[in-house]
Amino acid sequence: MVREKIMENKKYTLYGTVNAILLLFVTITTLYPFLNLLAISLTGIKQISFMSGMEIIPRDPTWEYYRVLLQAPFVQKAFLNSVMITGVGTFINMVLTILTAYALARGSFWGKRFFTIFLIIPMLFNPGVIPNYMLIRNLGLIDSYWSVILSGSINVYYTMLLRNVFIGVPNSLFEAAQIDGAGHLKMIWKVAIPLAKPGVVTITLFYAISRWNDYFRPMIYLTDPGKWPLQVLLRQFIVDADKASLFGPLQSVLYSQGATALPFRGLQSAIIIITVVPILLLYPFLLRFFTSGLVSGAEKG
Amino acid sequence: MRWARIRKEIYRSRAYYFLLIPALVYFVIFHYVPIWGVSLAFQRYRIFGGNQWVGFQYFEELFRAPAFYRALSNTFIISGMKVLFFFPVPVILAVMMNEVRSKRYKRYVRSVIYLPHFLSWVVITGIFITILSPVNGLVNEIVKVFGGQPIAFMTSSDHFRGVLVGSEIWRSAGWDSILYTAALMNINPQLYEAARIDGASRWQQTLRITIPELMRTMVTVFILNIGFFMNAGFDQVFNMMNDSVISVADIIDTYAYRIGLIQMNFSYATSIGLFQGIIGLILILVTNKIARKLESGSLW
Repeated sequence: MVREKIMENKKYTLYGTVNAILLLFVTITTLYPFLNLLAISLTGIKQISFMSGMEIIPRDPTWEYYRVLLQAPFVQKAFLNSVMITGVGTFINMVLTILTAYALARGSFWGKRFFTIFLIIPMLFNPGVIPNYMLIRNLGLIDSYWSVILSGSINVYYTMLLRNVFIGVPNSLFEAAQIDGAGHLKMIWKVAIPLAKPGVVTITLFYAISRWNDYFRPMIYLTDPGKWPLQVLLRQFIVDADKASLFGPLQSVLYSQGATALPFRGLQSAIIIITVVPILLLYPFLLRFFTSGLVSGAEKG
Repeated sequence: MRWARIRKEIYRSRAYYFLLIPALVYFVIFHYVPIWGVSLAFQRYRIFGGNQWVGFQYFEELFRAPAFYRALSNTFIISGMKVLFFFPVPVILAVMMNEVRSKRYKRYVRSVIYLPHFLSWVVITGIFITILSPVNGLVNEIVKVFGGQPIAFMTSSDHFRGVLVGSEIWRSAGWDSILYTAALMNINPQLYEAARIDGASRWQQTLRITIPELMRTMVTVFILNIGFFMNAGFDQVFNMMNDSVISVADIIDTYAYRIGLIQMNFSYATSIGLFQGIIGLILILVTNKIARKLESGSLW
């Protein structure tokens, strides 16, 4: 506070102005590719091959690519798959994270140190992709949504952050609840979560975003393209696009809807935007809760 | 006697154990079973069960394979380039943002530069293919403005590692600056006040106070980065890589993926993963130990 006041008093300096302009340039570098991509995804069929990377205003605007993609059953399916995996996955993440963080924050029990080490060891040693794949196979979960949902159920780093946030909740509130006869689950629900709300919300959003972005596990565990989430579909459009090996449903839909007449560039940029939009919707909440939620918790840790 | 006391204590805090059961079960199944699963590296895999122990056969094969050494050196080179070129960027960003006085402008800059961190590498690959396109991508349009010839960055083995470093900076430098922003908030404001009374300019204050105060965080982050040296960034390379750049881009992770899940040579791929895991473990343990000593000041 004191420092901010002192700084406010100073007049604009050349140094400050140059600094602000450089940062403006940094933000433009970050935003411009999005704006360009958005403009391409809205540019009309005849103009799209002329759209340069410098342009951020669509030529001859059209919704055509979005219309075709959003009406295509396999895109709708992929979107629903993503929503389902993100929803159920994040729920399981939060249940496990909250229970564990609460027990580690509140309890002093025999074996607590051992349990913490037990949680940390897998962070240090990564057995690699094959042993994980073998596990899913041996569990018979290949091509089941559960393979994606259950693996990655808890992030130790987030758990420790939430533990620190819970430690910051005044002890007296828990004691008062205990006197009223509340059990642990009730104390978690009525005391810990409400009082640690910014931290809980932030971690929920972190989990949700990483669930939404998960492409690798669905890609290797789900063999049926009908179960794929958006990210795996997007990968078909982006990574495999140049190999002209787009999988069956995509090709047939593109043909049946007369979309082969649509330039691939338009479809490609439109599906990138479709995949990013949900994150852009969550992002403002993340920004709002992040500083109040975790920075204070991390400092105590 | 001792056991009786422990049993009593366990019984007293049984509620906490119940709360930990879900995480315990999850960790045993999804983390400890795969850790045990690395034993596959010493077995010949049979589809219908009855794996045969073969000792270090797959490791011998591995250490003879030229592709392994290529992957190993690519991993080191890419990691090294990232440490070298990426590392200073978040520091500079944090210092620059610290100098901004308008709170609204600061909030704007932050909300923009943190954003790419939350995009998947699949999306970022799509963005970079678009802006690096030799036909009409943003970067090549700029190259053309300055009279240069367009470059096919994504498929050129001379430029691809640069693309990896550049996209890493684009995605994560903003978010990583948070670490330094937090460290900057802890600097005692009186230091600046004293400097100002002595007539130090803003630039001098940055040079003489801000940077030295950040030094310890920088060293810690640097050392911890070294701990992840074996991870050159699987998701990034896996998505951005293509056949034309495989010789400069194939890292240990992508090599193991190809051997394991494309060629279905499970045992061999497990041995690659185990090799990587063990080196990674050693690096993390050593670097964490050094970092902890630095934090406590016992290494200075």
